[in-house]
Amino acid sequence: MQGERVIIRNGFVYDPINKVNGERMNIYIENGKISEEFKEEGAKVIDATGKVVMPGGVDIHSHIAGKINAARLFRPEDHKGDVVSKTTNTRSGVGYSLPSTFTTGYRYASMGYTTVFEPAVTPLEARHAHEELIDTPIIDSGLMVCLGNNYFTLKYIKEGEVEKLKGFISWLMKAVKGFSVKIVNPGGQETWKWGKNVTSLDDKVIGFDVTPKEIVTNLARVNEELGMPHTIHIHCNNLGSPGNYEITIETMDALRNIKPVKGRKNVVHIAHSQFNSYGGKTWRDFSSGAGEVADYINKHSHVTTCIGQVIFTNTTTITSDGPWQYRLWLLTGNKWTGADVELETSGGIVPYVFRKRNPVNAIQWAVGLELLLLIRDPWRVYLTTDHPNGGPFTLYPQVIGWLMSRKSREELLKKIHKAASTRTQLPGIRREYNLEEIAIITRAGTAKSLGLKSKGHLGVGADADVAIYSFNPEKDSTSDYEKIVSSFSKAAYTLKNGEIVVKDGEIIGSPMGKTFWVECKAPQEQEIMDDLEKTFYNYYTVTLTNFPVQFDYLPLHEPLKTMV
Amino acid sequence: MKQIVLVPRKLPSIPIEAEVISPEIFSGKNIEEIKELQVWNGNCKRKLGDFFSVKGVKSEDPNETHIVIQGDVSRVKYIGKEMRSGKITINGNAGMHLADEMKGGEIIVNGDAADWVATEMRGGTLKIKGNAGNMLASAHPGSERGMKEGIIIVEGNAASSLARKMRRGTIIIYGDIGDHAGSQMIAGTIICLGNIGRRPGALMKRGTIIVYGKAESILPTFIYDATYQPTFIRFYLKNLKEKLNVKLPAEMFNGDYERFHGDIAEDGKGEILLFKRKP
Ligand SMILES: [Zn+2]
Repeated sequence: MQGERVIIRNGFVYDPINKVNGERMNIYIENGKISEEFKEEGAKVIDATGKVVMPGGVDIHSHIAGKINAARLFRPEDHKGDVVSKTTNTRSGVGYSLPSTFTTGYRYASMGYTTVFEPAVTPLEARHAHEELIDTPIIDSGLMVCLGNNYFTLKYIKEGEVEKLKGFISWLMKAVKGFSVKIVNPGGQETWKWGKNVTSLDDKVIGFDVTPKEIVTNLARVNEELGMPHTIHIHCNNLGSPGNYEITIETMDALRNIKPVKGRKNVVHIAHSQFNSYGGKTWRDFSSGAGEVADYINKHSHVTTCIGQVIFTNTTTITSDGPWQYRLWLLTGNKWTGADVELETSGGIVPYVFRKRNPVNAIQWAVGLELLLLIRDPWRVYLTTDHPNGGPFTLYPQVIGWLMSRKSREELLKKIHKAASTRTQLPGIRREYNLEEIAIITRAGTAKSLGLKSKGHLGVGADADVAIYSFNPEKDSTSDYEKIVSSFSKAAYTLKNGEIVVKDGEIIGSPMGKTFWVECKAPQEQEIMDDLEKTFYNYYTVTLTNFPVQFDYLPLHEPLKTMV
Repeated sequence: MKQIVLVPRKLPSIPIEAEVISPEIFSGKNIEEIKELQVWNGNCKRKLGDFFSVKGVKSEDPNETHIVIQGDVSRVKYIGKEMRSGKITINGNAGMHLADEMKGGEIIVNGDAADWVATEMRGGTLKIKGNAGNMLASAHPGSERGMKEGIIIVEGNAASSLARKMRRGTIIIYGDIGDHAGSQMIAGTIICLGNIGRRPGALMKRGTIIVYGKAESILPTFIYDATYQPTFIRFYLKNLKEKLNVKLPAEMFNGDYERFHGDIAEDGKGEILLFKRKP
């Protein structure tokens, strides 16, 4: 907070970006930023002796705004089982896998997370997503915009007009106050309008004569040439299907020669790779393909990935991948709702229970952990559950527990279907994460991948977003699963811009978070305005003038410059 | 059983939510403690004693606790919510959400019951001497399953959407049933001694609906199989008569039934058995 000075004293600090690995030191905060050392006089002192101090958590992929609201309406039973009363500091709320907006902010903060990115907003829904972010307290956020099946994307690629595509994305990010380019089942959603799907990178998208490979390579190229802070973020084709690890590797490989913008090495982020690393040909011989995917990522530096770890619980699947959600409905018989959003995207929602005794679910659980453990560079693999698709974000501490404690993995392996032991490599993996690596996959690495300079570290000038956990690396065993889960579930303290928002896991302050968006300035924008106007007039339900999201919808925001 | 008698005073127009009226919660408490139990009146916290006079004998065992309500509680919700044992008798009309997710024990209503009664019931017995409202023994909105176990006997009529998504259990309605009975039923048995409304068993997967009176319409997704005398009906009805004292017309035991199977839009393993009167 303005003018206020805080000292976090004597904690074990894990700040991987600044190469601080568990050293006992003080952190100084002034005016909401990390500052140089100053005298204690007049400062608020937080005693972190015997506790772990990390930068606030940064989630790279969690569905917290946008179509999640349709899922909330769709699952009253999810609310009924999880009702939260108001307190003097917090509002009431509901929802286990689909927490209401305020509850989402509180629950993230109480786990020590302070920044969360919504990874799938269709342009027409952006206004609503921003409205939801206004009501999601504490956490900072940003919206990734679905562009892999957008009419203009497909049209400009078909016409070979890459410069116009650049102009379109540049204009669109400003118009919807978006943060980055998201691609979901490239070409598949457009084909789904005809009741079909694409299953290989070289299939043609009906009506456009372009292929998924052309979509991802062109968008990646434009993304890097525009200098977007984050790479393209892909939900690959054939998500959820047996044998899909091949198309995942093909997708990564198709992007190998894209030239990254100056300042980073990677050009693509594979979202929730767990759902795209399956072997086998059918559900009967379903197996893990994580070894192959991890091997590819280990050998190629142009890829980052988040996992989408599966947790055994009753959750909700929500994606823009309309054909996949339909298929999931056929597989489960659970209720389903689908949507087609004009010229932009599709979508679907199906509730899903991941069961320990189900062989496919057991393998899915193992695949996520295999990826996290087999990919050697923690800077390129991030912890997510693809909330709520693999499980609610509130269960991240369980995943941290499994990564840190081999014993806990082995115990759970004994309780779940034996397919997880026989058709994956997990039982043979000895690796255990240390606290530094946990800090990388939950905040430092994600902040870096998102291109957020002020997040994910505790260097001077960084936003004073800090998480303090009651875990003593000198005394507590890092393989004590229960201790890890309880420590990371309820932060001892969470600070947001230097303000204490959480104490002992309880919310004591609820400031508004800000929204990051990217201000591109490609000159090609001018070339496409006529085209946009005509298309909006003819085919959109809104006119071009009514489409952009005004700043009234972003009361606190920070535009980021592009990297060129 | 030890009785605790509640007599409602003049109840306010805003409904009261009183899930505390349950044998588990009353047992082990003396009368003064029971009066102090918290209820909601709109968004205000109040005490049970503000709305009811409480008399009777303290009981330590919920199985031995019998709560008797003397008077109309049609504006009191959630009585007997999740109760597992003991007994509640309501000498008057009962409000919404009575026996919500009831797990065991017995509830008797000597009057009518409102909507959403015995929602997702999981066990025990509910007897309503008057009429029942809509959504009796149904699933909560969005839920996958409705009534999971238990017995419901209504001596009057039951309104619409009876037993939606019913999974197991037995429901006997002496009178008529409204529209959409047993929709999305997964299993279980509904017996209607009066007439049944439109679209019974819509989207049912399995389960049995037996109708003694007339059916207003049967969906085209139900296929007529045969007219026969199902052997199981004789045993089933005999059991209901002897064990639960259900009053059944004698001709039901050996009569002819038209069998329809459906809903073929779903699994199609459900059945509707329509009693066929002798011409
Ligand atoms: Zn996702």
